[in-house]
Amino acid sequence: MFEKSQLPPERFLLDNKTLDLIYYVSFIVLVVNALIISYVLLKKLSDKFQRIRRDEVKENVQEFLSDWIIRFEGSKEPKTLNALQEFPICNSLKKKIYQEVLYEEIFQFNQVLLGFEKQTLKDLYLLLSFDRLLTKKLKSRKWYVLVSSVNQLISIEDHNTSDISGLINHPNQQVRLSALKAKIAFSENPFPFLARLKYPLSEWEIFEVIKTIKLKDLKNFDDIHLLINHDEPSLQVLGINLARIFQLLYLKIDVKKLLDHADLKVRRSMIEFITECGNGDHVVYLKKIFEEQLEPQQKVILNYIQEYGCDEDIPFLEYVIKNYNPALKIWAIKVLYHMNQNSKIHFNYLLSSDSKDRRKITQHLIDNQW
Amino acid sequence: MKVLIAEDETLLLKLLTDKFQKEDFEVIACPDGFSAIEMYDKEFPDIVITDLQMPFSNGFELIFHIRNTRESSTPIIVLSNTNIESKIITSLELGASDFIEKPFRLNELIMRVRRLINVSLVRH
Amino acid sequence: MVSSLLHSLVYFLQYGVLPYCIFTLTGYALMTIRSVKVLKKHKEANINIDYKTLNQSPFLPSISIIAPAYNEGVTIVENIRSLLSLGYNNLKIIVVNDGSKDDTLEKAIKFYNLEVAEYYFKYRLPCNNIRAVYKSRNKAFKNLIVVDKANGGKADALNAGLNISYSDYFACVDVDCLIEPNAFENMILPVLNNPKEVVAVGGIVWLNNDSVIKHGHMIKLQVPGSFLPTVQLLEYFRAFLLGRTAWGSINGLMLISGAFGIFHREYVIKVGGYNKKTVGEDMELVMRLHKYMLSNKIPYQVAYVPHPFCWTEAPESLKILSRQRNRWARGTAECLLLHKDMLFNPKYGVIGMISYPYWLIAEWMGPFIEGLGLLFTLIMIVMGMINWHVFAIMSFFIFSISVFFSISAILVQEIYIGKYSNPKDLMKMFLTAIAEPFIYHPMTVYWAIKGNYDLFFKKTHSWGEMTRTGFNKSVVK
Repeated sequence: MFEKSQLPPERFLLDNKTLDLIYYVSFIVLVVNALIISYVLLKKLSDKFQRIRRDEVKENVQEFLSDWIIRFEGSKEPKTLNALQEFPICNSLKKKIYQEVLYEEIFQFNQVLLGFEKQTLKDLYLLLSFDRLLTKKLKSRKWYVLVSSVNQLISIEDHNTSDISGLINHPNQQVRLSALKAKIAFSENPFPFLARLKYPLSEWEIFEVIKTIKLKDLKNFDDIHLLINHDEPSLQVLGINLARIFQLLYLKIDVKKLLDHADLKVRRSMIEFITECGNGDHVVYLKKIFEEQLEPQQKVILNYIQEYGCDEDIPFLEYVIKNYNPALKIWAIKVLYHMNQNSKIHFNYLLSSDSKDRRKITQHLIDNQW
Repeated sequence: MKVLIAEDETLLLKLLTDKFQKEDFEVIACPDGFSAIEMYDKEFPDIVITDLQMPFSNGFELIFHIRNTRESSTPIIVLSNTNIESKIITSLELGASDFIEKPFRLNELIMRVRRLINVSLVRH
Repeated sequence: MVSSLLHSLVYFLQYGVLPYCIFTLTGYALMTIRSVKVLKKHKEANINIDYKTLNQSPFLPSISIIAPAYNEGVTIVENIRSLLSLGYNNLKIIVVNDGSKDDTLEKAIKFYNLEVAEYYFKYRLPCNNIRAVYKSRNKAFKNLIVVDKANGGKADALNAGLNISYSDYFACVDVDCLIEPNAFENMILPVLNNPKEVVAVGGIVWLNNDSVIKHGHMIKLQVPGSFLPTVQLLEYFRAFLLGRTAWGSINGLMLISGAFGIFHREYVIKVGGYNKKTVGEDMELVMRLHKYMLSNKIPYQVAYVPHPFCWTEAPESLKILSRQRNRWARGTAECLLLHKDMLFNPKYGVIGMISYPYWLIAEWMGPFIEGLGLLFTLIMIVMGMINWHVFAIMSFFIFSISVFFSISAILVQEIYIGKYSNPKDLMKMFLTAIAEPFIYHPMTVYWAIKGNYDLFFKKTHSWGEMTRTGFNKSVVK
């Protein structure tokens, strides 16, 4: 279909066949372009109408929710389908778009309310059997749908809708964490199933788990042994931290064994535990392991010495003042000042010390009045 | 009694408006911080309820405007979903009368509003 | 003589332009495929972000925003206010007044009730004399620090801000940029989720010409009205959505836009801060960070968040745009030259073997090859030697392919970002995409060549005055 090329072949790489090919390819690309353009524009147009419709529905639904809460305020009237029929929205609720919007708005609202209003919302949720919808979503294969529906389950405090035990060992970390939070929120004794976790917990997860447990009014900590004596270090850390936070002094923990644990994080949380909850038995041992700790733990140990130390510990403090970094120096001098009478004499002695550095720090401490 | 409510969640704003109207308040509902500042200057409400995170101008600026620019002692209740200590303290230091963390109980809010209004009436 | 010259030109066309075309087209295609994957994953991961929990977390790193301001008197109050309203919990705002000649500092002092504060810092990075550090008497603005220093340019101001800052991370932000309220929660996510040391996180910068902005907040986002900003927006779509997303995912990002990005403060100080001698200081810093981490064998990541959180005004006049492009071309050339030891050096992994060569060929050499191709075609036309048939088919091919990439960028934007609500906006973008290869592209080629000429023959190193229209223009509209 083309004229013969005027150029001799050695002067140009492209022969007529290639040129034809390039022509066809370009043409196809052009058609694809046109298709994309029309697709995007059509989609945009339909989106626009849908959004307008949705906004309309949203306004109606919000009006209804507000009326619903006000209507039942202070009355002990049962919330039945008959009561629902008093509202003009009732007929529209059969439509899918209304259901979707209402479902979303209930959870949106649920997050800011407490007490009676929250219960009223939950009754509406059960009345419209949204729990079945949620159960369906909990079987989704998309992880982000799972996370959002588990979070919804927590926020509505729906204990009996669905069993989420399977999700605790889900390969996706975010699904695991929210399932774990839900499970803890709904259970009276979370320790047995925490001990059965298959994945190690990250620092962030430990923090979240402790936060969730703190919100609960747990009475029974007997099973915490399962965590503290677990093989998985991150679960041990969780157990020890919980024991520290809830001040479980009656626990019979093998302190020596855990202080010598192979995992650094376990050792660290153990030091924090005995310095907060222990008695003065461990001064000698803590001094011994002082060297290998990180700065926050070293400070904790120094605090422990301040609480339980005696005259024999003064040389150790001097050693710290001489050999460690400024932050620890300041800390150790503070301990000297507070520990007992003799250490305070020592503190005063530091004031007239020949080391300019130490004099400066001591003076700094006095200036800052502690 | 006039109450100004600044809250960006339309759903909550609607509920609060309905509730306060039921309790015989005159409600000025503002969906963002800037309109709240504008409406405050126009309407002189007896009490202000405000969120902290809002579009255009946040709750801090509203409190600052009422206390410093207008030098008024209108009671202000902060209703926010933050529990970050520094933000709570900042809002109280700026001159907020009370702080309620979301989630909250409607009746508790009404009680606190009534108490604050009584206190400010006695003072004048 | 003439015919031998023509022969060499023909050979250049065959062996220079053609491989170049194939190289860039394959590059674009690969990047597009990669980007779509990354964008899909990113969108899914961000459905369930809980900003409240995030902001209360004890693991949240502190960020200080360093915003250099030079002669911004008209807009400074509004701009600081917009920065102060950001939601991130652990944030400091450091505005560096780079020796402005107008009333920038006075206005800030007056409005924010600033006073000179006792502030301990060391000159860890070299910068011009810091005259004073101001803090507000008002508790509501306690996150604000204003630094007054002697004029020394943008890089110098950023270094001064770095000396002042004590945060884990810092963000460099052009003071006239508009930042979304939840920007930093999103930008910090790669840091929280990545077990490796994240030294920098890049973000998307987009254009807000002709959008409705009120009190430093975006009310309605629109595609710009005139052709020049629209075509720039299209360029930004391609570069940020298709290009950098792909580079970011393989840890090969060479440039984090100077208008918006966060960096690990300690590492930036370790590598020596911003380089004052180049106009491409943003790219230079990223390259130096790569070099440092790779040389010291520290596992690291230069991450990228493919979602727009930062809006800025594009130049609307040809003169200012040409100056900007001239500067970009000079910056690229300078950075590539400064770090030429990275080229094909296996020690520098992805950067040395893939990113650098790609930049060298597509970004730096591209304009020259295209320019020569155009010149060659012109000569052929003038001498009447052109084969119109081949010429037409090749032009048709180049046109449809380049439009295809622009249009797929728009499609990707629509599916994964979807910021523009009006169908009219997209129609405008499509028309611009079709017009771009004829009207706009030759100009960018010219500017880039001119930039390189200025750098190598005229030794220009200055920034050139940037006159800004600022928010206020948009407010009026």
